[in-house]
Amino acid sequence: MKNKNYDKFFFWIVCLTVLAGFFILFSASMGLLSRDGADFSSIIFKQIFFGLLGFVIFLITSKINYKKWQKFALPFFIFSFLLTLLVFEPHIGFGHSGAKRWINLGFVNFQPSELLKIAFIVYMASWIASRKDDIKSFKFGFLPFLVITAFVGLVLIAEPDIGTLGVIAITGACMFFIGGGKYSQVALMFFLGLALLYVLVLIKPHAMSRIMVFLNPGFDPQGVGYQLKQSLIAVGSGGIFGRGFGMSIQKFHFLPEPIGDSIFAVFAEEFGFLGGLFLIGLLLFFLYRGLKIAMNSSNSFARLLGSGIIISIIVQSFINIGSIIGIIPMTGITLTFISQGGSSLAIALASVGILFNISRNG
Amino acid sequence: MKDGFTLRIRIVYILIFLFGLGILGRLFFLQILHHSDYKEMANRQYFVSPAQYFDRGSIFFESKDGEIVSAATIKEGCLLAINPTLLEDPEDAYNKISQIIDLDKDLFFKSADKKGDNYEEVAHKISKEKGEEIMNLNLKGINIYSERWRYYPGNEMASRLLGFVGYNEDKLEGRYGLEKYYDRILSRIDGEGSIVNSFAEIIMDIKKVITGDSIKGDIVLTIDPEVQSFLEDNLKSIYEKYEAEMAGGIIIDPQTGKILAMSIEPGFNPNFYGEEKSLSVFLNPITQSVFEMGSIMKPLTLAAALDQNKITPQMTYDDKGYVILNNKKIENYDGKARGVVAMQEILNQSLNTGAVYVMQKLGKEEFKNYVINYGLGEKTGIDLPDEISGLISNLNSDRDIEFATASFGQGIAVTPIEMASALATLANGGVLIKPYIVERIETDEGISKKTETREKRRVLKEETSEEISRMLSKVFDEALMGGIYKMDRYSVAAKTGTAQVNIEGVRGYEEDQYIHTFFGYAPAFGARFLTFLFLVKPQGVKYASHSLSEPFVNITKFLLNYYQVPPDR
Repeated sequence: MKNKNYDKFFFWIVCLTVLAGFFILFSASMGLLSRDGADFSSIIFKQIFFGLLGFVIFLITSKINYKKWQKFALPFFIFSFLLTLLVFEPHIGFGHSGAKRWINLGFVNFQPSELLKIAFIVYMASWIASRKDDIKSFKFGFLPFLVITAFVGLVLIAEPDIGTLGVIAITGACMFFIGGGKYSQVALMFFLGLALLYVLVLIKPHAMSRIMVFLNPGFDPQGVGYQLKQSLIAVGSGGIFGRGFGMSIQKFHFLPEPIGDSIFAVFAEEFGFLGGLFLIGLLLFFLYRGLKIAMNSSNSFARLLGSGIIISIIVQSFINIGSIIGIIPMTGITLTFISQGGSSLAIALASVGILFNISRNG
Repeated sequence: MKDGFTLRIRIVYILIFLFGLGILGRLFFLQILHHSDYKEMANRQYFVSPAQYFDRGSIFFESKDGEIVSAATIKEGCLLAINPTLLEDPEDAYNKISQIIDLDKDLFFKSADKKGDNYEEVAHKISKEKGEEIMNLNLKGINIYSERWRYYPGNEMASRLLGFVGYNEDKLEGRYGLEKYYDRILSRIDGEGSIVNSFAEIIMDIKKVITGDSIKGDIVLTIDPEVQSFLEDNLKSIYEKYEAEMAGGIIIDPQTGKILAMSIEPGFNPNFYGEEKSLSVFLNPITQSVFEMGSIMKPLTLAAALDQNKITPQMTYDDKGYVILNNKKIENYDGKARGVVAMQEILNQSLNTGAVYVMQKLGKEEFKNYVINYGLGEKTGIDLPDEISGLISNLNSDRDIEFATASFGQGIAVTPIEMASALATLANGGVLIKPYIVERIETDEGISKKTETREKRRVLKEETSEEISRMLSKVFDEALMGGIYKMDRYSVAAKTGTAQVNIEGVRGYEEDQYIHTFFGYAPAFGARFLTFLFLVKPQGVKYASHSLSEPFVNITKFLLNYYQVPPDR
């Protein structure tokens, strides 16, 4: 199985997604022209820069034998974890609208939880693969898994970045399941997750109000319900064919974060149901090809790593889209490959590079 | 192991796939099944009443102490719109609302009948308090939106000068007066178009930068609110007292061309301009109408001859009471002969024959040159819209009679502002100056652009100006109403005029209808202000000296006191 060719098909799907994402972002950023303090061209050039940088990293990670990641899994995970803690350091960490999610590296602002996500996946893949059948054991499989996830969880709840925690937790649970975890334990995990969510809602008023909006979309339409109301108007008014590229009206005055977490609403308004069908289809196909690469690989680390990477990307996308169209609560996470965000794009491309190497080295 | 793995990965795939289908189902629900609902919600939020965002620079008066008073500003309140589709009981809604505000019944029920529509404006310019009261009624389908409109705190004050903002097609813009002339600077958001179209907005902004249309600001007038009020009160009282068709006045600083006050009676209330029957009330006759000015022309004729050394104040002429030219007889106002009299008497007794004599001494060609040089027949260039120029085409003929009548202010017709700026040359040392009414523009960038005094040309020698001022102050001190207004400590120059009124569009005059004119300045030497008054078709008074002397003296005394002018004798 060694030295297979690259999965060319997969490669073109990635290119298509990145390119489509860029054009969607380009159009959505025009919405910022009418707002104060936003710099249209700097957003575009930044995204092009990080897209190109991401492509270079992609080429590098796709050349590095994925097995090397297994050796560095633990230090990489610890490094990312510590880096994430830096957001609480007042000199370099910062955030906006009540959440500390960024660190300032001087030339660029970086969201370390993006790195933590891939480090978690690498480490989990390595750890579960090393457990082999022990993963079925409550004491040696389930419990340690919970403890590792809880560490990550505590930091992300403190930021707070519940959305990323959701992506990590779901991806971890999927990997645990794929790695051989017991059905009963996975079910228990599911209920634990629900219980955690309930507790969060009780202790974080911020989370509470989002749940309120989710349960009742008409809740406080001028306040916390505003974003959902506006994104639903954007999506709904798009109709079957959409208003056409660049023609979104919502992005100008009404929709908050048109280039961030609301970008799907701009896309749906401009390209309509057919555009949505295309994008969801593309993501599902992306998932299919990615999981196929994982399935065809020769060892369990590759399988877990490959499926973890592709699942995290698709789960994040679907959580974002789902919250924008009101089928899950608002989370504030972005649409991978499409929303503005340099570090996110570059790391996603790097992760896909790893998956790509798996397709080659089996 | 591998098979178990494949199965589990498929389960994960299927779960995510199902979630993807869920998203598509939701999109189908939002974008296809409920598309029209969301489209309507979208349109409703894009449709904004132009009035909601209306914005416009202010116009200010400024007193001599630099105190700023609003002449035109923006007022905020509410408009009432109904959603006929949601309005269940129009009768009940009408009864409740009309207890709070005046509501146009026909409009209300006509709008309420438009089922299927969801936005009909039925009342405007509602105060915030009343708007809240209506909102508190909690009637379904009754909506209160914020509204901004142009507001003139002074009501009728300076109305003909300010003009107003009104709809031209769908666009709110300055329609008359300063609002029109400075529309480009004052206009900010006219609410053009009802759909938010930011692409167009961006392109418009770029265009505005290129065309230099981007300078926006407030304007501060040269008009002093105290002086303006005083002038208006005086005009109003003579307008009413003599049942005149119109009364007008200009107070100008002859040295700089700065207009301190300008008014026409009757005015109108720009806050309710829609209630006016005739559009002519919106025009400003000071720049947009011409009149034959009568005897106030005589000082201009004399000054011209003095300037060319064709006469001296000491010279005499033989007044026969009439002159015959081109078979037409020109008489003094009383038809009487004075015999040999001095030049001063031409002004004191306002002798037509004397003016003709002086014009003839000067020569027709030279006289015409002076008329043109005084700026009669030429727009002054004042910053008011649609200024017209005087009609002096009679002087293109070679007939002596035309020149003779022109020498005492008949046969040529000029605008009041033209006349005032020509007369200012007598007061200011002989220079024709462009009058102006905007002191400065305060742009949004914080730059204030001050209007510069602009000299057009020298018309008279300085000595001539002094000489004629001396003669005119004698008119005021000795001749006007027998000299009863003479002020011991101030020299005042003045002259009256009473002209026949031209029948519109015809060569000929209306019987027993006159226009009274009056101009004067003080102090006579180094004048601070020149006042020009006119009264069209006053009833029950024959001469301007009777109708206009008193308001002129009132105004002059007020000005001397207000500006604390030191006595000059």
